[in-house]
Amino acid sequence: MKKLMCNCKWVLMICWGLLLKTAFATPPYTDTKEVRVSKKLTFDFKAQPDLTARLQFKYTHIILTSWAKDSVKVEAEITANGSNLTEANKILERVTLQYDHTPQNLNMRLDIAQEQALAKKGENNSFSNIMSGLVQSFSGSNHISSSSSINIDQNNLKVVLKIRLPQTSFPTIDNRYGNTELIGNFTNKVTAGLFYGDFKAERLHAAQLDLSYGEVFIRQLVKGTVMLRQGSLKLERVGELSLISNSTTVEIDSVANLLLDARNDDITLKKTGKLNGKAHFTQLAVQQLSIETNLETQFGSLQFVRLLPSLSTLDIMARSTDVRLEQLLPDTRYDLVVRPEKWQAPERLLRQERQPFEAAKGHVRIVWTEGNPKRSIAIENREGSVLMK
Amino acid sequence: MEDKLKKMVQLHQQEIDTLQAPEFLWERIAADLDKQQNKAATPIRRLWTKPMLRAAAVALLMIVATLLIRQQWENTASQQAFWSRYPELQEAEARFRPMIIAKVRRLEQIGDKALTDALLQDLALLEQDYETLAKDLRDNADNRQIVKAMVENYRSRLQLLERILQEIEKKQNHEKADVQL
Repeated sequence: MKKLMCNCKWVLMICWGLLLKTAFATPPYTDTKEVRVSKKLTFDFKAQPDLTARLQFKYTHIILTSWAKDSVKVEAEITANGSNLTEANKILERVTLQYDHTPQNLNMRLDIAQEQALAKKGENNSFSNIMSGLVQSFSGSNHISSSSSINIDQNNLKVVLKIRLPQTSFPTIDNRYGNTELIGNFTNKVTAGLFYGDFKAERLHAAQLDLSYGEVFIRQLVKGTVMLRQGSLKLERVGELSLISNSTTVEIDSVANLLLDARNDDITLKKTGKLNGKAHFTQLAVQQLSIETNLETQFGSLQFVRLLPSLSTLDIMARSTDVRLEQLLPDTRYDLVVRPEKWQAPERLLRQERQPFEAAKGHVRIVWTEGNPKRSIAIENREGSVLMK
Repeated sequence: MEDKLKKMVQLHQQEIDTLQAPEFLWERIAADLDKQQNKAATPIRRLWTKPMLRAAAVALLMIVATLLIRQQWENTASQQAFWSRYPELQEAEARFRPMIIAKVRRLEQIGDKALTDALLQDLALLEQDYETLAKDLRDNADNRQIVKAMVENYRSRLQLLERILQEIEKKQNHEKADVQL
């Protein structure tokens, strides 16, 4: 019995030991809840109808709404999440929103302080207002500590900027790594430079857009220049457009007048009035052409599915491009320069008389007329194929 | 103006012919000339020939050079430390760069000059984007997205070259086949 008691003592001591070890290894209290801190900024002011709004942002979701009032209303919210209050505040500390305004101008800018640069925060600053993080009041210091080099990302920082602007205003937007949305009808020129962010707009009368690495959607654009690289563009209704694109996917439902400078793109045009310019290494499909086209192409492919009777001119100067005309129009003068072996057409056309054209390179010229010519279709394709149905 | 001068000369013709310059005038002129000659003869003081000043100049130069070298070294060290935080970028560079160089060389061989130049311009734009991303990486904000974009940038350069080379080679092969037929 005594021996058993003695053994029990040992067992109890070991159990106590284990319990104590567990108790000391576990912190008395662990806060696993995520803490969210945010800072809001709201202001409004009377503005001239032709106010210029210059916005320079990063990592921000910008929503601009046009309204028929001569005033501006700004709402901005910066939200930071952290594993504790200190961390959340430190994230917020690094984000500064600067702004000033007059009835003619609204200037807003978002700065993310770099570790070394934070000490200089506020210097060289022409802005009259600064909305910075909470930490200045929290820690009483303007310097960032080395331990506060917390990585900001989409999960722990969210910046949303909503601005209501007169519809006749001139917004100039510069946004990186954030999406931009324009709601309503902007009747004056909108200028935007976006890098890694999507752009969405309802109705723009005039636009100068430089967009890269993002998806672009515009419901209606009356007149504009779009420079697009490494992204996609979807336009529903366009009046006059100058499109300079590189490595993109473009889809336009309807365009009256398109001046194209495309390289390495996939472009689909549904209803097209005039189409001029050049396309290199580009797959270009025109589903309907109604007025004219004057195109220079190199490599890639070019397809016209439907040509309307209103067409006056189709002039293609191609090099190593696969050209397809899915429909042949009556009352047309055709002028074709191609290598005979690369020309596919209905049998009756293949029997047309061929004139040598730069015979050394094996090209021939074939000219024929169908009906009473009201339009001309001329295709010169060096090294490429031509298919006519 | 000319008439006035003429009249004055005519009026004082007699005085001009007879009037003598005072003797002290020549003495004064001679003295002034001596002074100017003495001034010209004074040797230029060359400060740098004094040993103390020479040593001070050398010391100053050394301090400035040391500061510049130190700043340069610190910049390089901090840059190295910064980039070492992103091994995936170093991996991407090591993996894609030789492939990109090889494709550019291939393009130079088979493509014409205008085409190569245009493509090099596109590659330069992509490189510019890479630099913008690298600059924004210093924000220490959304770095995962930026690093991903930087790696993707290398891939885009390679894909661009591959797509264009493929198309040129396809066309050239067709042409060869046509010639053989």
